[in-house]
Formats: sequence, structure tokens, C-alpha cells
Amino acid sequence: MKRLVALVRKESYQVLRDPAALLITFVLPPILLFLFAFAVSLDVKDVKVGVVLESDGTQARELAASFAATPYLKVTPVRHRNEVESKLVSGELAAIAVIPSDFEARLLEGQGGAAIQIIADASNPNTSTFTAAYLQGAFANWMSSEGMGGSGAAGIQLQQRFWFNAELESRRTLVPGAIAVVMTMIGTLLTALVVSREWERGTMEALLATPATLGEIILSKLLPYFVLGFVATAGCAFLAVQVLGLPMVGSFPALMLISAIFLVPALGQGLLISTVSKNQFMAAQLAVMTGYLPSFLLSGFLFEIQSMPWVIQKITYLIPARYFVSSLQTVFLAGDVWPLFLRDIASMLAVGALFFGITRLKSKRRLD
Amino acid sequence: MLGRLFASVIKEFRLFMRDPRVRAMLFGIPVMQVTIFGLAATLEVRHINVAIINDDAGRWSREMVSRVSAASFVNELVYLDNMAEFTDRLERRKVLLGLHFPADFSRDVAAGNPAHLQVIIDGRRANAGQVTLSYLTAIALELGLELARLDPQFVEPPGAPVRHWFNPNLDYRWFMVPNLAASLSMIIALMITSLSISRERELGTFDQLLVSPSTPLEIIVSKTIPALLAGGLVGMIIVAIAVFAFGIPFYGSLLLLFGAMFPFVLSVVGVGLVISSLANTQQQAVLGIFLALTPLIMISGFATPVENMPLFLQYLAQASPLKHFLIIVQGSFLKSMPAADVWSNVWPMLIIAAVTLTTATVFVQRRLQ
Repeated sequence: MKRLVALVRKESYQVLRDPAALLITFVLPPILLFLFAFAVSLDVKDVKVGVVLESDGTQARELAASFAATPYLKVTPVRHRNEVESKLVSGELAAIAVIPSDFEARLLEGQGGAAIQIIADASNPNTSTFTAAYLQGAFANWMSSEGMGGSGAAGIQLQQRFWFNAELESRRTLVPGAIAVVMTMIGTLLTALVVSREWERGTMEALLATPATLGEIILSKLLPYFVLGFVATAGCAFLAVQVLGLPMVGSFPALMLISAIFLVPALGQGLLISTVSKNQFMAAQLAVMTGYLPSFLLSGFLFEIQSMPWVIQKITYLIPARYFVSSLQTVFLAGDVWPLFLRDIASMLAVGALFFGITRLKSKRRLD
Repeated sequence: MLGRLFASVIKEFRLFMRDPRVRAMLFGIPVMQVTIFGLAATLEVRHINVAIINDDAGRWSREMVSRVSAASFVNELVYLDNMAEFTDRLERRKVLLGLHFPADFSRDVAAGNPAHLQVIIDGRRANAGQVTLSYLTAIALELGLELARLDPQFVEPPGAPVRHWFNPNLDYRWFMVPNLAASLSMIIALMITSLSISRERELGTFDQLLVSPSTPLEIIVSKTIPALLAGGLVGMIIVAIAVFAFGIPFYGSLLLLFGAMFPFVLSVVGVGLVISSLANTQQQAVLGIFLALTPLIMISGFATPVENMPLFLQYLAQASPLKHFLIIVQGSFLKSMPAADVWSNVWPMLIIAAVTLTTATVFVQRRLQ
């Protein structure tokens, strides 16, 4: 026990002396959090559109004026469509609305025909959908203000309500994801680098030759990072709630418990990476490819896991961040849902056990 | 002098390619990555579970439910009796959303009154929720229009049909896979360069380089070229995967794209060399890379458009080489972007490259003195 305490103390000094580790723990989290809060936004605003007015009619001009007056559209008015088509290619415009020369006649004709045409730049399909919907909405508004909104049945009206995130701020779902990314970097990347450096320099062999057991050495290496990760989470949670205005519907102890559990598979993964790779370059590459990028792309906060192909969905079961994101979003936005937490905690522990188990098998062989 | 430069470039190459595992990883992992992430990264919604709470026994709620259940985005419909059950399922993420039909739904439809249908969505999954809502809106509109047509008095207003240029089926992969080609080659190039100087410094061989007749410029050039070729090669491999494995159309000029790839990788290598020349150890270099990499990717428009960002971040985005190259990659794949438009995105990358490579050379020079 005493030996372990001494070892932990040695490792802690080593971590505290390292400016890079402290940079990752204290500087990177706020940067990432702010980027996610402000840079990543799926809310399209100020859409740049070209309005091609080919008709001289009064109604056509009125419609063009109404497009220009729509708050979230930035309109470039032109007379010919070839003036703006090349701007769709260069990306200067997101869409074009063409008001054809026979616009008035088309309006009278009705029967679901095309009064105007909308051409959207679908090279980003998501933006394209939003932009087209804005333009169609602006057109429908103008139509009903002209008394041409259609008559007859009133139809089915959807009343949408978003629980846990009533104003649909994307920040509220993204910031918990950013915390998961930060924790993955501390838990997996930092650990992988540190331990692989020991192997690369041969200091690991030196440690192994001491009376300390392998378990003690590993534990003493991981504990400081566990504490760093813990401190970083607390800092992130403080920033998220106090500065970025996230609600904290659940309880703080629940948040800390989930974060502590997440560090088990994250550290395990880092340890495993350092054990299978010979040098820091390999370790860094593996940590990026199996830890960092999956925590972004496969953890479910940017892309819906259920929408992924079957095989990929199965792969995500091995990504600890997947469970962490689910629980984090819940504790911030929905509250303490213990059935969900317990399921995620069990899964994270299982993945952690897997990583530590493989590490154990691999490191035994290394010693021979 | 040229012979000396050539020799040190060769040396860098050998150093790098010596380790078969590094070789395998350099090219194998990006291929794996683009496949997995290309398949995973989609904003289309599929296979979701929808809860139905139906207080209405009439015909029209059943009609609406059957249309939803036939839709391609639904995996399973979960029929629930009351809101308490629904709250439980939603909290536990068993369903993405619930459709709640009020008791007078069918009566309102039959009477021609607006019939309200409550859609309750999990706000934790706001993206998927919004996309699904748009699918549901389309279904409701379609049904509403069919109902309206039953009325002989009904006059259908003219519409505003949309044509989606460059990606008519709105396939998200056509957007994502070219983006991955750019981002993954950036990550590879950054990693290679960041470790090159810092590794020599950590092992102590950097001092040997400094006492050799090589000038700082030569050192930088010899570190640049292998990374440039490796990053470019990875980019080309992924472009080939995008076209041949994912079947993404390539309408532009391959020559222009590959031509633009070199200024891109060069500017990325410049960023990597600056970080590498500042770091004392490999570990610091890798962590420095991460500090730079994440913002570079996030403000580039990789996931969300630059236009959605606050103005000061839009200005900052100009400093990210990836931002400019993404426009070229997307333009080359789908839009057959002309040379003039490509050029207007190439010169900012050349400026970034010039600034970063000069800075790196200055840093190395300072070490000499």
C-alpha cells in the first residue's frame, strides 16, 4: 500500500510538471466547449438567395419584394437566371428563386402547377433542405396574404413540442457531446501517449524490475489521469451551466458518478493502445482513429446512431463515448433517469473490463 | 546544395517508411476510416422507434398511423395507452418521438376543421427530431391534400417546386465522403510533420542536424516533402474510394483537384511544422496538434456551414486551410467547378502556407543561434 502511494506520488509529480498535460486539461476544454456552443450550428440563418425576376407584372414584383423583406433571407435581385447560376457553383448563393415571365398566367391556372421555381445548392443536403423550406414558406406566406392560399379542408396540423429542449437550441445537445470529446482526449489520448513513451524510452522495463507489481504500476500511472479527467469534467460542467446557459436538470452527484465510470473504459482504451503500439507515433495515430474521431462521429451527438447501417451500429457498442453522451445529455437536460444511467454505467464497465482484459493478456506476453 | 537537399529528403523518407506498421497504418487506417465514417455520418433519419398514443377511435387517426408505419424512416411503432408510459419510454430513449391523437381527431377531419396532432420529440436528439418532424409534416400535408381534393369546391393553389442541384436525391454521403477525404489527409499530414522535428529533438538528433552543413531552409524543405507526398497520396486514395466504392459522381477536373491538393497539404504541413518546432517532446507536439486540429476542423464547415457561424468565427475560418479546400473538393466532385473558382480558394491556402513555413524556418533558425 505504501509502495502504491509512493508510486502515485511520483506519477502525479510527473504529470504536474508536464505543461502539455495541463494544457489539455485546462485550456482545451473551454476552447472546445465554446466552439461547440458557437461554431457548430445547424440553425440556418441569413440565407443568401438570388431572386430572378423575369416577369414585369405587378404581382411578380410584389412577390420579389416580399422575398427581399423576409428576415432570414439575404436577397440578390437579378433579371436573368444565367447571372446567378454560376454563383450556385462558386457557393456565393445557396439558392435561386425564379419568377417566370408568365408568372401571372400560372397563378390564375392554379391546380397545383408551378408558379415559381426554386433551385437549391444541394452540395450540402442539409442546408439545401432548410433553404428550400424557407423559400417555400416565404412563397406560401405571400400567397395567403394575396388570398390565394387555397380553400377547402383545413387539413392536419402538427403541433410539435420538444421535451427537454423546448427552444431547440443545438448547443444544448452539442455541449454534452463536447464534454465527452474532451474526456476521451484526457482519458484515452493522454494515457496512450504517456505510457507508450515509457515503453519507447525503456523506463517501463526499469519500473517492472522494481518490486512493484504490474498492477501497482498501472494503477499509479492511471490515477493521476483519472483525477485530471475528473477535474476537467467538473470544470466543463461549471462552464456549461454558468457561462453557456445549459440547464442542469439532473443532480451533480449523478454527473460525477457517470463521469467517473466513463473514465474506466477511456483509461483502459488508452492503456491498451499504449501496450499494442511500439512508439508514440503509433499510439497517437491509434488514439486519434479509435478514440478521438469516434467520440465525434460515432457517439451519437452529431449523427443519430439508429440511422447508421447495422454493422456500424454494432461497432458503436465498443465506443465508450456512446454511453457517456447518452447519459450526459440526460443528466443536463432531462434529469436523473436512473434506469438509463444504470444501463449506460453497466455498458461502460463492460467495455472497460474488455479493454483491461485484453491489456492484461498483451502485457504478459511483452514481459517474456 | 541540391544534392545535399535530395539526400536529406531521401533520409526523411526512409526514416518514416522503415517501420512496416507505420506504413500499414498510414494508408490502411484512412481507408478504414473513410469507410466507417462515410457510412455512419448521415443526417438522414432511419430505423427509429415511434410511440403512438391514440385517444381517438376513429378512421382518420388509423389512416395517419398506417401511413407513418409505412414510411421508410420507421423501425417500430410502439402503441401506448397513456402519457405516463410515454414519458417513461422517452426518458429512457426507447423512442425518438410520440404521436398523440386527441379524442376529437377523426371528428375534426370529417367535419373539415383543422385536426390537431401532437408530436412530442426528444429534445436531446434535436437534429434527428427536426429531420423526422419534416418527414411527418410531408405525410400530414399529403393526407391533408387528399382530403381536400374530396371537396369539389376545392381550388388547389399553384406551388413552388424545388430542384436540388448537384445532389438531386439529397444523399448525405455525397457531402460527407468528399469532406472526409480532405479532413483525413489533413490529419495524416499534420501528424507526420508534427512528430518530425519534435522527435529528433526528443532523441537528441536535432542537434546533429543543426551542426550539419544543412541550412534551416533545407531542414524545413526536407521535412516538408515526405509529409506533402504522404498527405497527398492519402487524399488521392480516399478520392478514389469515394468514386469507386461509394459511387459518388465526380463531375469536375481531377487535374484541378489534385493540383489544389498540394497547396492544401503544403499549408497543413506548415501548420504542423510550426507546432513541431515549438514542441520539446513528441508528446507536446501531439497535444499541440490536437489543440490546433479540433478548431481547424470545426470552423471549416466540415459538419456545419461556415455561414451559420458568428461573424468573427467566419473571419477566423479564413485561416483554416480546410475551409478553402472543402469548397474545392465539394465543387470538384459535384459541381464541376471551373478553374477560376478553384483558384480563388487556392491562393488563401498559398498565403497560409507561406506564413506558416516562414514561421517554422524562423523558429528553426533561432535554435541555431
